[in-house]
Amino acid sequence: MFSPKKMRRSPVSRTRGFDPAESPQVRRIIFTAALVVGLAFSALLGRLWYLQLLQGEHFREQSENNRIRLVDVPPRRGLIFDAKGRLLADNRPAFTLAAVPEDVPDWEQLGRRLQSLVGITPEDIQRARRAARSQPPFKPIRLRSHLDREQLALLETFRYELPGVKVLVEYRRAYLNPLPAAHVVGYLGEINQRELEKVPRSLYRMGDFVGRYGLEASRERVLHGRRGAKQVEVDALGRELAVLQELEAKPGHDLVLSIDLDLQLAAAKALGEEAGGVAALNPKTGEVYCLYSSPSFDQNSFITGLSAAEWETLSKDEKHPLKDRAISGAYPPGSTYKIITAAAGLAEGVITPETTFFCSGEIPFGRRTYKCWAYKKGGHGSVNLHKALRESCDVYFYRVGMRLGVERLAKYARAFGLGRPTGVPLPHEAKGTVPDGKWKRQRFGEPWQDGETLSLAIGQGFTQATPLQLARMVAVVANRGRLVTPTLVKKVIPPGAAEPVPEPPGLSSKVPVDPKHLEIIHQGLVAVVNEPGGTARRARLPGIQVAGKTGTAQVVSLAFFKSFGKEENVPWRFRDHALFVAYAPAEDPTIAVAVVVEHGGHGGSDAAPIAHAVLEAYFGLDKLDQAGKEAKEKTTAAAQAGGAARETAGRAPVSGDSGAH
Amino acid sequence: MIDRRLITSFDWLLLGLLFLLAAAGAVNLYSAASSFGGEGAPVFLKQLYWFGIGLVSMLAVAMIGYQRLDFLAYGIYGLVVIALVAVLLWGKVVGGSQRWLALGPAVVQPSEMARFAVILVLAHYFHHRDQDEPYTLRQLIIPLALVLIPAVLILKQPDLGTAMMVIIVGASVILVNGVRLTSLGLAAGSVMGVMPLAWGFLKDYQKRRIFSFLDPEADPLGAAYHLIQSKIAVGSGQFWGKGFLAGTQSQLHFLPEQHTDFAFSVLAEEWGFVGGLVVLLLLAAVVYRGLLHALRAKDRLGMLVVAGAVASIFWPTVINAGMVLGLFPVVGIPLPFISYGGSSMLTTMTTIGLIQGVAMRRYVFHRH
Repeated sequence: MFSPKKMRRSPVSRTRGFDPAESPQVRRIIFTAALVVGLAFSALLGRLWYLQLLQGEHFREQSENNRIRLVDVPPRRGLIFDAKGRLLADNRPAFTLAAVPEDVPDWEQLGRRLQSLVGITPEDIQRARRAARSQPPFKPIRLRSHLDREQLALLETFRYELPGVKVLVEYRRAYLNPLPAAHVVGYLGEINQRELEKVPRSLYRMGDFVGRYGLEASRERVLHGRRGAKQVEVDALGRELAVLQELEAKPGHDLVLSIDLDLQLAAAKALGEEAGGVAALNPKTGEVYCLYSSPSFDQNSFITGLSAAEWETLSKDEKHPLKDRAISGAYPPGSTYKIITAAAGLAEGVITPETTFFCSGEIPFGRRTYKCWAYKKGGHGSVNLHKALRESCDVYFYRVGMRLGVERLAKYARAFGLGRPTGVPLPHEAKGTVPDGKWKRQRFGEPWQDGETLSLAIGQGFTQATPLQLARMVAVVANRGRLVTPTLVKKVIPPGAAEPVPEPPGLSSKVPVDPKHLEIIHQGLVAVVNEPGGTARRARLPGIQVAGKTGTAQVVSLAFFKSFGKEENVPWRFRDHALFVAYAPAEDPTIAVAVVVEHGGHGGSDAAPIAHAVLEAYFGLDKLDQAGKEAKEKTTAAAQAGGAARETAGRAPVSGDSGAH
Repeated sequence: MIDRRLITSFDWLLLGLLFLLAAAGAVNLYSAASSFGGEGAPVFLKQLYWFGIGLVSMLAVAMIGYQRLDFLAYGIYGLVVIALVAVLLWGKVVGGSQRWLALGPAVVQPSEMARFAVILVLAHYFHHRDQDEPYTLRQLIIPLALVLIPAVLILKQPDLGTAMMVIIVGASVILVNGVRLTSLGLAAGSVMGVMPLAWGFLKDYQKRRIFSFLDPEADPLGAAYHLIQSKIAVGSGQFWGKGFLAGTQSQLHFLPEQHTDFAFSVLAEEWGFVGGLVVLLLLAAVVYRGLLHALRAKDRLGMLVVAGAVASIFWPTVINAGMVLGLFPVVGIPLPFISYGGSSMLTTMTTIGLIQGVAMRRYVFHRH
């Protein structure tokens, strides 16, 4: 069957004649191995003999008195400060009543004593005993957290009647200005089993808190710190007698944010009950000064534990307080998008600043008529770019959009940072939408309709952007051509370090629009706020020139909107979104801001005042206002002081005193 | 028709030893994990279930026979190396290291298979070179590479214990095959030289464990705490032990990892010197049965395959028991049959299948 040659290659024939049992070499090796095995097992048995029989008595005694325990020392979580050094997230001691199961001689009796002292119910005791079954008996079981001073005093007094009871001092996160900065700072939650399996055991234990939202989550690594441990000796009642050894915990790093609490408060106050988002940043560096989402929530309730009812109200609220609208609310940009249409038109050469179109209040296109918002007044008449921006003429931008086409519009929208995350260091950022032909085919399986380009050109239709994206977009005009990356953390302070470590600045990219063209748009935006006929006259500040653009984004079709008759009759969720983007001081901007008020009505009347409030806070004018009201006759002086503030190059806050001059 | 001699030559005594060990392990796990109110099936049942799967795997490997596996040696080895690379690229991260690979619904740990593949590939290599004289260092370059490739990949996961086992088992096969004494000396010297390099590969926690073994007083809070508590547990067992379910060290959770790495200290605490002695003797008996079959094997291939299988039972036993008794540093290597662990049980039983395969064929000549 096989050729002889093949036979020779087969393993059997090659080793024929070799029999391990016959080979003296193999015998020697196997006997050596047997010797090694014998010696190893003898060593193990000898050791067993030594430990159990010679030293047995000693170890038996040690095991009976084994009262040396290893206790975790959790690290102090890093603190979070605002730009002016005000504490946003602190750690405060919280007192928790706990029992060490193996040191409790009689649960019933303990339960009765604790009931009379601090109102622990038999059910609490039952729950604790159930919990005790699934963990080591020397691990304290929590009976009640957040004890008050009076309860603490009582427990201390009757300490000797309460064997096994322990008061744990635990540092818990405390948010000092919870509502205005809730979304940015975020909150913590207890680590769960799944997450525990993914991290090294040296870093996290059951019961540890980890960042769940906001910077607490995105900067978890630096904030958390490293746990320590100590070896303690306990007595028969489980009380700590002495610390034998301690490995100190390494605290987390502190963060100093670029966020300014004053601006957060101003935004919160201005938005009031409205739902919406505010983003403000430095147009040159991308440092974010304000990132507020309304309605907000109290982060502290996540630390003390939300009740089922509280969670229900938070999560079922029609206005979704837990959603960070400033970075994950995506809205049609409305007329604020005309900045992009204008820039694209100039950059692509389809218009010049002198190009004029005639606005009769509407233009026919295809089978539809596209209206200008001013069609009731009979339109804007002859319009050039400056006037079109100032008065937000829709017809002008329809024309520009028709000349550009959807693909070129999309290209510039992307260059201005729409359609992708800004890179702000927060979780859950939305990327928004920049529609084009390809997108439409993928999304709806239909080709792009030319009429849709018209809607697109005035920021209606499929385009969606977040407030932070819009702030960044208007910053491109403010800084004449750079798209910045928003940053939130200014400095990181390592534990025990004398010098904080400044964070690297965010990167920026060049937008392919000639600065000369952006200068023309800038003039238009100044006109929006400052010239008669501008749509955002309410955004003016005393002594500081503001540039901006209003926007009103339709939520439902115009026909449906009209079906409710008067505007006041339209249900909240069908009303238009109000938008406003701005920067100031116009000649050398140090802040760019974007405001979206959900279903808020109109950009000029509803969003601009909110931006105004934030800018006022930024320039320190709100304090002047107060001083001004207190001394009514000196209101003009306040405006002058505002002018002085501008001369001191913007950021320096002007105190109320200077307003009283 | 299966040759009758295949069945009569099967090592029934060895099989009996395995049953005794599995029973001892399960009884001990019942106690070691009794004070945890975990969810799912109790650990001791899972261990028995894995023993069952292991039996099937052992019989399968024994029936296939080592000569047929010899043809597949490079194929199996290649697959394991590919799987190890895949683990590094797409593996599941558990407890900070990447060891598991999800294949559809099943999760496999290729590093456990590495030992098996290395035994086969080395036996294959030496068998086909068929050289009687002891090997020189230069001749060992390829075998060493065959051992080190999977070992380094496992070390990268990082899984020091398993990587160490691959190296030790591989080295055992090479030694049993025969190495020239002068080469051995040279190799020992160069290993000493490489030590500082390997040190760089170790993770901080691994270094700390070694330090704490060398100087327990320096780190009483970390690994040394485990060593101290383990010694107290074993020692306090004395001659007869504290009794089933009555070990204070284990039931009160002073012992770390008491159902895996430190399962033997629970056993020694509750069953005393008597229990420890019995289990160690059972393990020694398995090893000696193995050595006997190595000697009886009728070709080099069989001898080497058995030697490797014996090494992969002997070394974990010595290292784990040594660690529990405070003779070695704390390394995460399970004690065969006693420590809980599905993949460790499966690998152990599969390698014993290699021994049985050789034992069954000691009087049978091939009909290739």
